[in-house]
Amino acid sequence: MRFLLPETPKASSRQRSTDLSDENFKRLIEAMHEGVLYSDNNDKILYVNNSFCELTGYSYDELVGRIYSDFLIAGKDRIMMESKVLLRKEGIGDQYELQILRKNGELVWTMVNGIPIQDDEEKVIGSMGTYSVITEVKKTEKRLKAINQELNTFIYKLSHDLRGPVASIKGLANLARTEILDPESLNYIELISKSVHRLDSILTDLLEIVRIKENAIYTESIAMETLVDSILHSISPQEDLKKMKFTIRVEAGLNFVSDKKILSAVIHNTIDNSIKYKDSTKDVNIFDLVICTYHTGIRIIVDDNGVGIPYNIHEKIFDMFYRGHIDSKGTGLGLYIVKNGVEKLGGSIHMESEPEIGTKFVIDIPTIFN
Amino acid sequence: MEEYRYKKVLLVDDSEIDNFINSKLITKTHFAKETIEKLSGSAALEYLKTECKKADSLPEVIFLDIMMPVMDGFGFLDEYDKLPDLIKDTCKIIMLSSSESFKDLNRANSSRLVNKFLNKPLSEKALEVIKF
Repeated sequence: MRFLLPETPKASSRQRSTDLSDENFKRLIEAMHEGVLYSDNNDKILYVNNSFCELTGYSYDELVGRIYSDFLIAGKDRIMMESKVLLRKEGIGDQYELQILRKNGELVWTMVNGIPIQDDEEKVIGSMGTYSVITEVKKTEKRLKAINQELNTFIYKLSHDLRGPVASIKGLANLARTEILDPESLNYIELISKSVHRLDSILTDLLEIVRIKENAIYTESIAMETLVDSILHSISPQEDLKKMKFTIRVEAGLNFVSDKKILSAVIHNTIDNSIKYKDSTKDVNIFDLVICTYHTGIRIIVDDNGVGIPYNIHEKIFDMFYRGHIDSKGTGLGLYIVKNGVEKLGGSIHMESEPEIGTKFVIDIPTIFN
Repeated sequence: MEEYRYKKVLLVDDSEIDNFINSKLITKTHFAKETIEKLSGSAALEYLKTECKKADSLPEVIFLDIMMPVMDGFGFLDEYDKLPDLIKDTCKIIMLSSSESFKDLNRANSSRLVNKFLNKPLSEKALEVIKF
């Protein structure tokens, strides 16, 4: 019996016999902490080490000579195992996770490293695998996934449920504004109104983030001119947009297959960023939006003459809750939404910015093919 | 004297504050002359059953909140569907939500019982454009 690693099928037999005898290999395998199983091309067990016996709960004699795929592998994994056997026959080794059915009926998660075994003519005569128990790793992984999921649900529920009372306060403030005449009281109402609007934007942004992170992508054909139109209409307050000198150039008739809601959030928040960080010391505040075909997808360019971003914070602007400007009116979530949205759509974002000159975002998004 | 667009509307919302806001706004804007407030879906159903027996007494519009304990807006719709046709032919339902949840929006839009979906808080502007 000779063991050959698939990566070095041409390793000379001379080296093997001088450096490590077959006897030494056997002793090494017997002492290994991982379970080792050697089988022929028909899944018949030819050899197992001590650790493998412990792992499965069977004795050496109960294992050797039997077809392992018949009793050590849970039904659902058998099809996967067949593909592994085919790989081995082609001389290819690989690593995968597998549940082993123990003698007492328990399932135990293992990480398998399988390699083909070849004879002197380099013909595959069987395969050997090392089995490391990863039950704890699997459990931790499962727990982490659950915690992460729970956290996202929590944030979603929280933002969702908080919006009820926030909407009530907004409604009350709207009513009070029309009924209260005393200027001092009215001033308080305005301040309450402002704060509650800010709270509302934070909640909206949080919901948007969870939606982007959690929801599956839903693709449809998007008429870009119509989409941009509706985004511009949803900019709030509209007066801020009207004060800017903006140029919109969307390639005529451009249709693009992607997730409309995510794409809309990306464009909306990028434009919003330009509006929020316009340079009030300049006579004219400009932003240009260009959307055109690029490779298999689209390129979105948002270019402004706003306050610009200091070089030392270029790295941080996409971080969650990071606000890079002293009079920031935002939630610190806008560009974080942009980054997450672009990533979800498989695109990339590139930023160029010079303080006092302006900022330019270039976003490339590929078409999503089903 | 200014005309009222509707005679009577029914507000179904577990939040008294929201009922207060909406009822104020509805009368102020002359959207309706009378507003009835119910704090739960079941109370609203009872009300509709009673009014159905009187002549010309049913509300023309129902503002229905989605998020309510025990019976939510959609639960209300399931029960409402079983009511006599007279009620369903008279009342138009506007669903209200504060969540901007797409799931709710889709569900409301796909229900044949819902005539409109609006976000909270209700505003003068939103009321202006309501026409059935």
